[in-house]
Amino acid sequence: MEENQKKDIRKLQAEIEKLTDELHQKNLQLAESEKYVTLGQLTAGIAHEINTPLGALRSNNDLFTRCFAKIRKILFQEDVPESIRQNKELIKLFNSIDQLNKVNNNAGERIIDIVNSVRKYARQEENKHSLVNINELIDSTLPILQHELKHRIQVHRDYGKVDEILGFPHHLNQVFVNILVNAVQAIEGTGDIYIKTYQQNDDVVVEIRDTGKGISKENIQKIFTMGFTTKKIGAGMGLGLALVKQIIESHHGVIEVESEVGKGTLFRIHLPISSGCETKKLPFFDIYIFFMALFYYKLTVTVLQIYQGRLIERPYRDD
Amino acid sequence: MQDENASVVLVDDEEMVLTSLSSFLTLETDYEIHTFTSAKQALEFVKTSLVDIVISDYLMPEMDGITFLGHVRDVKPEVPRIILTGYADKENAIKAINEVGLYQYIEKPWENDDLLIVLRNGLEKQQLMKRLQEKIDQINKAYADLQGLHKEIVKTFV
Repeated sequence: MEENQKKDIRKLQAEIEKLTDELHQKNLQLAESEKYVTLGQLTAGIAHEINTPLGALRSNNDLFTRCFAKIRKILFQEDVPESIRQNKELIKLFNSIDQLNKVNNNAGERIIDIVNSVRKYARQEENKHSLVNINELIDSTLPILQHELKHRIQVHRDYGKVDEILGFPHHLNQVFVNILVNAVQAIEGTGDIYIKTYQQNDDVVVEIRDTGKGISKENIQKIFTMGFTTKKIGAGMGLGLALVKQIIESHHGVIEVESEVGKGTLFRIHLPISSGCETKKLPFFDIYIFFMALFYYKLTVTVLQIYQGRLIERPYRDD
Repeated sequence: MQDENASVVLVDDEEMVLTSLSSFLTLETDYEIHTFTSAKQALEFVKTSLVDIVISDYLMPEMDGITFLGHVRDVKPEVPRIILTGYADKENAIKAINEVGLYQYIEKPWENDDLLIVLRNGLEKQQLMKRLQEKIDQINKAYADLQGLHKEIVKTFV
């Protein structure tokens, strides 16, 4: 009797431990997502504040370029004495100025790209169900990762012609940021990331391959489970890929992974194109358009007739 | 083109934006530039002066750009109105744009070349509308004259 009771107790203990663990995970998940919401709002606010001085800087840089072009024109025209027109120092100075202006312009554009990417990523409200061009979406995540990529990782893009997919841009953004961050972290030292997109019948396929350390056969089954991580305690939550899988599946898509330890990892994502999903088309939409067109045509013709009747006067009118 | 000395009104609560915009326009065009950090002062100016086009920022402390441009429309409906809107408030701006009937919106940070094109097109449109109105007035007058003449002819024969 006692043996059975002990067994039952042990069983219950195990159950309780399991449930407590799950609860703990959920709490961490909640805390993490709350942190992201505040962080998102903060970055959106900062990005918005940066915009005004950024606009002024960019405009003024452009203005410098234009002003110097005009000054140069005046100084190098024919009636200017040769001592000025052919002054080597002056020519050198103007060349320097041209170069500097170019660099400033590029730097300004880069800042604008980064700020826009951060805003797009941080904006929660703009997460409406809409048509998404996957190539543009992936491109918009790259400036954010620039800091991580820097000089050690080269990104190779091979974008195919793909139809638009219907989805939540913010969520899809997260998918690619998560996968790319994983790829970056998998590469120790220098390496490459290959991003390829193409269309296969009714699916848009995205392949992200890295030359990182790869995933072992025993772990590859578990990578999409919540809480699985190979990072040290505190470094990662193990939520990234679980979230990615959730988002892909909510878009009626599929995610596959192939990996070889020491060689690298490939993530392949299939997402159905918009016409494969239900679109909010009105029933008999085309017939509706036809009748509207007919109505407006008739209206125009009637108006013209009235107008014509007024210009071509009938000979006698009752005054 | 007749818009060489066009009168342009710029409104933005940030001084540096006004400086950038006016410097650029002064350099590249012959327009007469009038800058205001206060929408109220800008409105007074629009009421009392000859104005060809108005550009205003959206988010301003005193009065937002859409409200301001709505007043401008009440006072001078033939003047094209342009709003400058930041990335974040683009959607709200677009909704409000239809209510007020704006010519165009420009996103911040703006591209100088785009700004120039929008201004030129806006001024051209304003010129065309003015000439169209003149022609319509001419036609109406001619029509009235024709009617008068017609009555005279009929009287002579009856």
